[in-house]
Amino acid sequence: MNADASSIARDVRTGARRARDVVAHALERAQRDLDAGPDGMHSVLEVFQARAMQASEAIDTRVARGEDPGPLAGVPVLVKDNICTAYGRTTCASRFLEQYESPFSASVVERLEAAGAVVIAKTNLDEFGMGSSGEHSAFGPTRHPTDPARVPGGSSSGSAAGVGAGVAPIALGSDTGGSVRQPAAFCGIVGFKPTYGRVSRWGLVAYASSLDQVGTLARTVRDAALTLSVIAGHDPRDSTCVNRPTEDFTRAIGQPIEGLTVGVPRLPNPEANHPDVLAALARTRATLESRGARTIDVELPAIERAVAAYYVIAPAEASSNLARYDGVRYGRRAALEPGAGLAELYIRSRTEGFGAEVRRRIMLGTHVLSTGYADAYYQTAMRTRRDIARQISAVFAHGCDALLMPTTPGPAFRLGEKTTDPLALLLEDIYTTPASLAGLPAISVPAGQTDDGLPIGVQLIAPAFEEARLAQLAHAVERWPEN
Amino acid sequence: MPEVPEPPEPPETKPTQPAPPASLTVERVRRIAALCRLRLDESELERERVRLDAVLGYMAQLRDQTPGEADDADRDDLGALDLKNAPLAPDEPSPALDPGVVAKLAPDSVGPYIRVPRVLDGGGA
Repeated sequence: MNADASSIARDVRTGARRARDVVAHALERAQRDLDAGPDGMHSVLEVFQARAMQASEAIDTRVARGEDPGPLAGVPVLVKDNICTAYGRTTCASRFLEQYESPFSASVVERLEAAGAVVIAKTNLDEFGMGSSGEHSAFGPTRHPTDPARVPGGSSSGSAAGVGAGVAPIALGSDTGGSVRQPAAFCGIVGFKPTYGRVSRWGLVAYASSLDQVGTLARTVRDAALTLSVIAGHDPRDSTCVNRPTEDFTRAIGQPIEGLTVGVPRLPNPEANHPDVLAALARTRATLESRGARTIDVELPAIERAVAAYYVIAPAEASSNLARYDGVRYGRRAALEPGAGLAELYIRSRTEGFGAEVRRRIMLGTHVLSTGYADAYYQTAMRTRRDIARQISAVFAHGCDALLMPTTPGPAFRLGEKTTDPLALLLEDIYTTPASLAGLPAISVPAGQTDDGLPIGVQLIAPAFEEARLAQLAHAVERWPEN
Repeated sequence: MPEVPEPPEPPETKPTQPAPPASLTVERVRRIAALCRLRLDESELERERVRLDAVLGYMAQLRDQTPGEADDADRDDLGALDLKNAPLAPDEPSPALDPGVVAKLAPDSVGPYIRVPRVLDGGGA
């Protein structure tokens, strides 16, 4: 599907295009991917054929009656499978929840549907959002949309690959330490993480609650911002969701960026980056300047420690959040021999239900919180988190409107390339974790490609609740291969 | 506006806690797994020991490079995470899931009740 969400919605609202035709086309693409299974791109885990067609026909009926179905009328959308839907399954790509059917839909899904969007499929991911490659799904890895030997990034692997391949123009993902932005960069699309608290987490399966945010993936900045405008807003069911007026984050798109100042942090270890990433960063900086923005070098030394702090805090929270999976209340229960007790039920259910990466992060989190280790690891990581937030705040307070950084150190890597080195995959998140730890909005936009045709993304970070400014700047620099 | 915004002056580096043991032992990994209600076989224990040790070694840089003492600000000053003024959910009862729905989600249930293995008299919980 090459049409963007904004033009689909415009055409459906005016009756120039039928929602059922748009949705039928997207469903055909999604079903083809599902049928191919792990040998294909494997972006989709479940397709909602009948329900989506019914929803699209209802939208056409409303248009025919003269009603406005909303700003995303008839737009097919993919939803990451750690976001609850009251239909189908919500598996988190885990054996533990393979058959789990949520009794409710997440707030973000309710808002999308109220705006006329049609959920066509749930997408693959690294189990419970734990991974940066898309290889850690219990149902098999997702593959890159243009090079099946490579990863699409993660953990929102299926959402990014699906949008990148044109299955649907927009998708929902979740971003804990970069899980929307990193796969967006790898797949050549836009990934938008909002300010922490901007979007309700109600119905998002928890990984690390102080970091998790639902974000949007799209082929254009405008679509990503439009979708974010729809899902943002106060929700009393999530106590961390801020009570601010809703906003149209597309409102500044296309406005001149003259007079804005963008800080470019000194990279901790420039030679560790792919040269084409550094070239894309320099090109983006030049684009900003050519369009009237001012760019300046800034120092943010604490960001060098961000990934280490993140991999203490996130697993610590995960070890607590995932304690709920015990084989008793929902999800998988191990088959026990007669006479086996409750303790054995817990151990067997969790050992059989979780994949290796999830087990590893639960153990890591338990270790860093345990007596004798918590001060050395967890409390220190929290101090680092504060340092990062303060340093970035100081740069913004000195007049920077945004920061420009790479999204990833390199382009999409080969399947299996980083599965044996435990540090290699962590370092994929080196540029995405600072905004996560500081709770700031950030967006990855396409910035060209490597010599061998792999997409490269650059990242912009803005002060809290400045998503509209972020979209304005991102739109000014988004660079598509055909450009 | 200054040409180059300066970050806040870093306080003097002063690790406040004794260093944890330099490397994990298999026994420590076995203990962690037990705390997590997970079971690893002998080959997995050694493999996970190596992997966790590598990650924890990388994280040790935090302790060496992060200055200052822990204080309340570490919990309350997290940029956009304005925890001091975080809205609290009203302390009012709200509708809960129907017991029948909850039981239906459970792997094993009897009517509105969730069934579990024996807890007392040898259940071993």
